[in-house]
Amino acid sequence: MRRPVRTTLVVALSLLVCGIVIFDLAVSEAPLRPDDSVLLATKTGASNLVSAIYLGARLYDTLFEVLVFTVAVIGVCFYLSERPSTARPSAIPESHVLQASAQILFPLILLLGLYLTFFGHLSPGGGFSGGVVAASGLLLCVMSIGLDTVYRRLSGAGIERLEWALPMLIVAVCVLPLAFGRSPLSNLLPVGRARQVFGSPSILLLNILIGLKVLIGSWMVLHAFIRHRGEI
Amino acid sequence: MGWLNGTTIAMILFAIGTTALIVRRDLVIKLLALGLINSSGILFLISIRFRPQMVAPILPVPAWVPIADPLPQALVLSAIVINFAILALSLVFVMLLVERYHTTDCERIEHAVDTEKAAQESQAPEGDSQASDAERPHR
Repeated sequence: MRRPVRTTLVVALSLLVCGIVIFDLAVSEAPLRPDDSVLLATKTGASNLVSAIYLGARLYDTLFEVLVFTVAVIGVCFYLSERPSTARPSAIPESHVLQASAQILFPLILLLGLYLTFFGHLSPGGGFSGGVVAASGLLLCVMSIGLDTVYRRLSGAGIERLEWALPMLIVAVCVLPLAFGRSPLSNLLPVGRARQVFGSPSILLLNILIGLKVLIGSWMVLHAFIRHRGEI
Repeated sequence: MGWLNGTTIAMILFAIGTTALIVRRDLVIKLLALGLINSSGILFLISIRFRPQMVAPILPVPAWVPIADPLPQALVLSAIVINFAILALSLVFVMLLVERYHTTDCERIEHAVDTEKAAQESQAPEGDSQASDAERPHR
């Protein structure tokens, strides 16, 4: 079969599949009733309904998502650790503009990541986005002062051992209510007043743990890719 | 322009991604197409339960204002993280393939694998460079 014919067939087939899916799903319009949302918010104490769902009612989804992320980080580090490491990882030519702006921007980026993590149940944000924002700040640091310096400063705090401990901690927080005779999805800590930072302590705790996990996991992936990029 | 909403844009993106995934031969472009398909799925799920007069699902919201459905947004959060994980892991595998065969063209890689297999079956070294390539361990 000639190539244009094949391309046209593929495009037509995928458009057909999309159209079927859209007409199957998009026709039903049932908006969320206000009673449901208020009930969900008072049950978990989080006024951001998205985090009330993914850290409350669908906590196991998030748990296995964290485990998939952990497995991917393990895979990247394992397969890249057998490759020869690049001799000089900081091959980017140093620029004074980059260095000066990194000194100003890194604390602000870290602060933004902390804000997104700590206020994830009150405003848009959460552990995942906060962790990725902080990891991008670390990438800016790597580009300005070099990989070796950042790696030395971070691994002084035993950051990679923390990476393997955090999934265990998240699983423990998820199943700890069983030890107190509650159902596994109920809140471990009591729900406080609405629209306060400590109004839903269990979601805050999970957000902090997930933010740390995503920060360290993204840093390890970045570090493995920069360190072992090899020569082609 | 009423038809140009999130679902139709997601449909177009899905078509582009699927076409690139099947037709193009470069492995890195295949990965980019996979990311495009994932993004189109995210856009589709977000926009399927959203109407222009709806507000974000963050309380407090007045009782007469309709709020967007938070469930697809919570599902999409998993999709984003898993897409990142899959992309990182498959980039590593592409790096391993490129290090061994020195190309990202998947048909050339298949051809090289076939010739390696034929060389191994016949047990006859054709040339020094190819023989050393075939004897190199997989990683």
